[in-house]
Formats: sequence, structure tokens, C-alpha cells
Amino acid sequence: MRANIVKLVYLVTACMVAGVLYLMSFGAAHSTTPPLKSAKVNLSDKASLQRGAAAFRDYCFNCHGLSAVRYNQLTKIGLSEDNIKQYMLTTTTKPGDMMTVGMNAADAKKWFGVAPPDLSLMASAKGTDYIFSYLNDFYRDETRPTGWNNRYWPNAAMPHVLWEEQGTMVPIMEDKPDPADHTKMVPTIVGFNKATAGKRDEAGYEQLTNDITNFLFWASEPDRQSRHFLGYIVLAFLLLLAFLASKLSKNYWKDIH
Amino acid sequence: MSDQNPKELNEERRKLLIATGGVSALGAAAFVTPMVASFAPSVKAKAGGAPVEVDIAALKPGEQIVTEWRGKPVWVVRRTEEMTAKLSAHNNDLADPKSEKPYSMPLPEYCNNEFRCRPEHKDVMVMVGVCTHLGCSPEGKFKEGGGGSLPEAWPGGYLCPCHGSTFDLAGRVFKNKPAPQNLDVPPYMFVSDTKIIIGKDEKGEA
Amino acid sequence: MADYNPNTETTGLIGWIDQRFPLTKMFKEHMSEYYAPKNFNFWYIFGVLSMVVLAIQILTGIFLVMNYKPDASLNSAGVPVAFASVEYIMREVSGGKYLRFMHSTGASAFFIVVYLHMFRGLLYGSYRKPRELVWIFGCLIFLALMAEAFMGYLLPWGQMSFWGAQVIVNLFSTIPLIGPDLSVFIRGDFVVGDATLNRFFSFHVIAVPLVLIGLVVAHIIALHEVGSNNPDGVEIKALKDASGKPLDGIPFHPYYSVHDFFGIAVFLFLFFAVVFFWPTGGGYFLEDNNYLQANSMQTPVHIAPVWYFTPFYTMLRAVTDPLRYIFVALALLAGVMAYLRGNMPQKSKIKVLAGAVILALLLLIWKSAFVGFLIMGAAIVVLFFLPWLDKSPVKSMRYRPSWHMGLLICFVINFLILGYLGVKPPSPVGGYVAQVGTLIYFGFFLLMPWWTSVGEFKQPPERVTFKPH
Repeated sequence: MRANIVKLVYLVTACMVAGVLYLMSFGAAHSTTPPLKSAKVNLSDKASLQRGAAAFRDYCFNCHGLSAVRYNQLTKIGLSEDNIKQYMLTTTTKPGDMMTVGMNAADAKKWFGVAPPDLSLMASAKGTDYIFSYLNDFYRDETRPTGWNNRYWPNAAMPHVLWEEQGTMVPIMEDKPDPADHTKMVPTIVGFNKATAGKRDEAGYEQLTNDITNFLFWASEPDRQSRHFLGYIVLAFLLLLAFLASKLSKNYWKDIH
Repeated sequence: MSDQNPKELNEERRKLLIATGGVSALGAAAFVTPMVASFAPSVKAKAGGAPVEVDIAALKPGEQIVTEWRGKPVWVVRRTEEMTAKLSAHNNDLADPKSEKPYSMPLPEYCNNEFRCRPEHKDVMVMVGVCTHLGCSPEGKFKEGGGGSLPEAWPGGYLCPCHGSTFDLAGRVFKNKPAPQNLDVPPYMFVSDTKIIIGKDEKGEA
Repeated sequence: MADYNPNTETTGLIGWIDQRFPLTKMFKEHMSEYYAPKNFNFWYIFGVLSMVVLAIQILTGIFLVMNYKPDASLNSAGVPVAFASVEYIMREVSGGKYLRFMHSTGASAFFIVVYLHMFRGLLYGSYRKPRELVWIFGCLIFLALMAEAFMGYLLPWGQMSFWGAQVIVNLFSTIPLIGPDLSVFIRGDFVVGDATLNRFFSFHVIAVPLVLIGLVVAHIIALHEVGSNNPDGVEIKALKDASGKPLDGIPFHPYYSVHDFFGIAVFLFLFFAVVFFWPTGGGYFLEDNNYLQANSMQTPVHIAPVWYFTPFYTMLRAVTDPLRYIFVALALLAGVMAYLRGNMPQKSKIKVLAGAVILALLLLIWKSAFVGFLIMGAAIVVLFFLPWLDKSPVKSMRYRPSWHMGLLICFVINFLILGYLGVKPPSPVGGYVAQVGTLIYFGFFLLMPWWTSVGEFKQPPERVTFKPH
């Protein structure tokens, strides 16, 4: 009887593990957001970071601040102090200032319904794949006040600021099973067509959005690479310490029988 | 292990203790480094101490602009020709006429002359308005001649209200006053004839 | 009080101190002449590691506090001052980012180490007589640690900080009668805000650390008073040599100081590997959503507590009406069983039955949200009673029937499952699994008086099992 109870507990535990495994696979398949596209971030590619900084200034900086970054920290992506003064500063800002946005938060709320978030840590909060996917997914949607929508942040208040570069994309719709209820069919976006051309072709636009993503990744931790470098040194040192400590311990424990 | 001999064991123990101890000490120092480093002025503090630009286009002879650099008042005074010319006349009344004993920052080499300023613009005097006694900010007393606590032969300069120290129009302290040293002269340079930048010179930012 | 003794063994400066302060005496008592069993294994390193992590947290905390500002108001860029001060530390203070990453990694490391330390106790019966008080101090440390971590997590003032605190403080409002007022009192405001941030800052920085340090000292003093247990569960003080030293004991110093030093070095390697290369821990040590500043107007899609709280959070969430009714039934059943089968005097039996009936009635009246809150608390409180729940004739798992270990492993798997479920959003399947898991958790402990006393036990040896190395 006791043995059977114990077996029952084992069985129940196994069922729970099975349940959890089911949940792990179940969760992934039923997300309504499309899978993320991979961004290729590379903090050593200074050219990309500089292009990204320029694009950020041209398209993003009107609404989104980068208030944890100082202008003079842009020297870390290879810009000289003169470059920064000439290309990045505004008439009222100095190199030591933080990159705060000109738009007043209260006005922003009035105009957009929500204040555009500061982007200093967006790469850490959402991940670079998300940002890249997001920038590549804007499509025409006449039902929205801005005329644009995005599958990665549905009904965003943000318009497609890069539309002149990409051109306008219109969704191709097909009826597909509703993820929430497989018995129903709902019109689903299966792809995009380019209705009007932009300044860049597909590869060029992908490079632009990748550069912006790369720049935001840099901005989330400007000297990330030095952390890795220091890390190798610290770990090598600790390996040595552990080795010496092991030998010392073994030496003492020879006394113990 | 092969070493069974207690003497060998002890020898090894000693060596290992020294080696491990040494490496641990290095480790402890490394661990403490970010803590000690965090005490140093941060980027924000250093940005707050960045050089300051001053426009002197409207500065007339005998007038003074007060600006701020690193939290302290900095005076930019345009001496009249007469004021500048008379600077060496009262050298005997000064405690350190040749500015050999600086207060908190070294005198920039381009100011090591009788005017204590850049010779190409010998009328423009830049000095830190902090009394070298206990740190009050002296008042400008540019008019010549005595009156109040000022001596008869007063050439024009500054009087500190706290304990009565006096300084001339080149920031040099008079003898027998509580303040021991001349006023500091910060590094500065002319970006144009009408604009100076304080806290920066040919050598870079201070 | 001892008389002034000019004749101590030590001389010089140490001798001068020893005549006025029991320095050498304490060193001998707790280090060089404290006899610990010689058969400690891997599971015995986690106590020392807990102390190491406590030291790391305090040291890094001291320096973080120099630059952190507990202020929820928005600066001119629209960023909360507290949130911005953390980024200031990360980017502008020399060495600041390493201090921050050490502190955030340390928080998770603390729980990993403490859970493994507690598991050792379950493995070897370290909480059994005469070590009940060591265990109780330990449970108090666990409680204090959870409070410390919870309050510390509010300080960065990110989305998870804010909403996690909001949800947990709102739990207090489920308490009948006094709940809502109590929540306002705890918060100092109607919602989590600047008042809450500042009081949590004070508790996190000074009040709870002082309590933690006091409890850790008490924990170690209680341990040293009775001596350590060991993997064989054998009391080494039972067999002593001619001079009164335990036959199977070795002086803590130098043998365990040196052995633990190695263990600490290995731990530090793993710790700093995370600090330098993986500080976010895949979103578990530094949560993604917490990189967004707190926004009282926008609830994140999915709020979950930090990973170390999730098993208990799952149990809280699992209590819906069906489970609550099951608990009502179980309470009644327990009362009836105690009355029919318990070996207590008749008066006590009646008291227990009456208590069980009252409890069942209360569980029936109270809402599920509040009962869930109570269950979460009970899950922690049940730990305190472990020394009296375990009725096994032998301490260590080594000499217990193998199915005892099987049940312990099921308990651990169950605990991990409860943790996993707590990280995920609620779901129908997850809900059922969580409810079963909650019952298993409580069943493991509350049925212990029965299952730990049955089975074929092996005879523990007189001397510890030890292989020279």
C-alpha cells in the first residue's frame, strides 16, 4: 500500500513534468506576434554605428530622447569632437550635455496620446531583434490616425518615420486560423507588397534599420566591450587562484586520515 | 600524491601559502578598485567643471564681468591703460609681487609677467574671485584713493568683507593682511578678440 | 565576570588584547579548536558561500548608495530620478557598472546559494535535535532575505519594480477588515510612489541588513554551541579521544578555512563569469521589462516576481475556489484523523478537532485571494516546523529507504515546476499543474510525521565514512 502511494507520487510528478513540457511548447506556438527577424549588431563596426547615429539624429531624435547618453560620449563610436559639434549638437546644446529631446512631454501626450519613450535602454528592454523587426514591419493601415500600423507593436502611436527611405508597404491578407480559436478563420497578414518605392532598395533599407538598431545597442551600454575584455582578465586570474587554493587545500588535507 | 615526507609537505605548504596569499591580495585589491574608483569625480561632475565661454565685446575699460567656473566666481575685468600701467608702482606693498607662491592652482606661464595676464591682451585680467584667506568673495573697489578701510594710496582693487584682505587689480594680495597668497588665475585663452574661454588653453582643458 | 588575568598564554600586543578581550579565546573556540566533522562534502560549502554573498552585497551596497537617489519624481528629461541615478551609476561613475552588476548578480546568487544550503539540511537532517534553533534562525534569515530582496527590487524604479511592488502590497488589502487601510499604511500613499520608495530604501539599506547580520551571528553561535551535523548524520561528539576531542572531528582552522577558500574561489569564478559576461541572466537576474522606467499608467503585459519568489507566487495564484474548498476538506479531514488516530489525551484531541473545524469555516468564509496569500505565507511558515515534522529514526538520507530520497527528489522537481509556472503567464493547464504542485508541497511537509517514520532503515555507522584525499 505504501509502495503504491509512493509510486503514485512519482507518477503525478512525471505528469506534472509532462504538463510543463507541454506548456513550454504550447506557449511558443500560439503567440500572435510574428517571429522576430535577426539583427546583426556589431559594436566594432564604427561605420555602422556612425551611420546609425546620423539616422537617429535625422529621424528619431525629434521625438525620442537618449537622455542617459552625453553628446561627447559619441567619441566612443569614432566621431571626433568637431564631428560631434558640427553634426550632432543643436544650437543650444554643448558637448557635455545629455542627449535630451526637444519635444516637451506634455505636448507629446497631447499630440500622440503618449509621450515617446526615451530610447537609452530600449535595446536592453526589448532586445535588438525586436527593434530591428519593428523598424522593418510598418505597413499602411487607413484605420489608424497615423495611417500606419506594425505587427510588433500593434496600434502604435508612432508613424513610419522612415517611410521615405523604405517606400510604402501594403499588407497581403489571407484567411488563416485564429490563433486564439482554431475553429475560426481570420484575415491575417501573410506578406507585404511595396506600393510606392522609397529612396533605398530592400538591402539598403535593411542596412539602415540595422545601423539604427546597432546604434541603439551601443547606446544601451556605451562601453560594453571593455566589460568583456576585463572579464577575460578577471576570470583568468580567478582560475589561477582556484588552482592555487586547490593545491593548498590538498596539501593540508594530507594530514587527515 | 608522491610527497609523503613531512618536511617536503611543509615546504610545499609554505610556498603555496605565500603564492595563494599573494594572489589573494591582488584579488582583494582588484575587488576594491571599483569601490575606490567610484569616489573619483564622475562624468557628470567633470562635465559640470567644463570650460566656460565669456563674451567680452561689451566689456568697457574699468568694468568687470562675473562668471562661474567649477562652482567659483571668476572675474573678467578690463583694466584702463592707466590701471595697467600703474600695476608695478606699488610692488613694495605686496606680499608676493612676483606671484611665486600660488594659492590652489599654478599660475599659467603666459601670465607670468607684470600684468598677470596674456600679454597680447594686457588690459583683460582673468582671476578667480575667491579670497585666499578663508574663501569669501571680495568686493570690487576700483576707485583710486582712500576712504573707509582703504589706505590713502589705494590704487584700485578688491576688499574682502570678511576679514579685510585687499588685492590689487592684478589679484595680488597686499602685505600685512590675513590672506597669504595672490588670487588664482585660471587657464584661459582668446577664441577671438571678443570671446575668451575659461578653463581651457593651448594645453587643453584644465 | 572573570577577574583580570595577567597570565595569558599569548604575549605582546595580542597578549595585551587577550587580557582585556577574549580575542584568542574566541578564535580558538570558533576556529582553531572548533571541531567539525571531517566528512563534509560538496553540500557543506553553501553556508560559507552565503556569508561571502552577504559580504559582497553589503560592500557593493555601501558604494551604490553613495550615488543612488531614492526619488520617484521626474527629472527635466521626463525620467524618474531614481531610474536615472541607476543609469548614472552604470555610465558615469568610475567602476559603477561593476558595482551594480555585482549587486544584481549577488541578489540572485544569494538565493541560489541559500536554497542549496537549505536543501543540504533536508538531505542530512541538519535541522534535527539538538539543531532546531539553528534551523529556526535560518528560516528567519530566509524571511528577512526575502523582505530585503523585495524592497531592494523597488529601488531601480523600473516597470517590474513598480508593478511587482504594487501587486504584492495589494495582497495585504485582501486581509479581511483591515486590509485596504493596511495597504495604504504600508505604501504611505494610495499607490506605490515616492513615499513607498523612500521607506523601502531605508529598510533595504539599514534596517533589514542589521537584522540579517544579527540573525547570521545567532545562527552561527547556535551552530557552534551544538556542533555541525554531517552527511552520515552521526554525532561526532559521541566518540571522543583521551583529550576530549571528537575522534571524527578536525579543527575548523586550518582544514576547513583552507578547504572553504577553494570552494569560494570556484564560486567567485562562476559569480564573476556572470557579472562580466551574462549580468542579465537571460532576463532572470536583470529583467528586460525593468529597463523601462516605472509608468503607473501602463501595466506590463505580464507581471511576474523575480525568479526566486516564483515558487511561492505560484502557490498564491493557484488558490482559486476549487482549491480553497479542497483545503477546507483537508482541514476537516486532518481534524477528524487527529481525533480518531492521534495519540494525545482526550482534551487535546477535542481542542485539535475544534481548531480544525474553525480553520475550515474560516477558509470557507474568506475569499480565495486572501486564502492564497495565507497559503503563500504558510508555505514559508511550514519550514519552521520541519524539526518536529520529521520523525525518521535516522537523520541522513544515506541510511533512509531509497524511496525517501525519491520523495525528496519529487519535492525538488515540484518546487522547480512551481517556480517555472510562476514565471509564465497563467494558463488553464498551468493552473491545474500549480494546484497539484501546491498540494504536493504541503503534502510533503504535513504528511512527514507519517512517511518519514515508515520503511526499512539502514543502521548508521558509529564512525563517519571518510576517504582520505
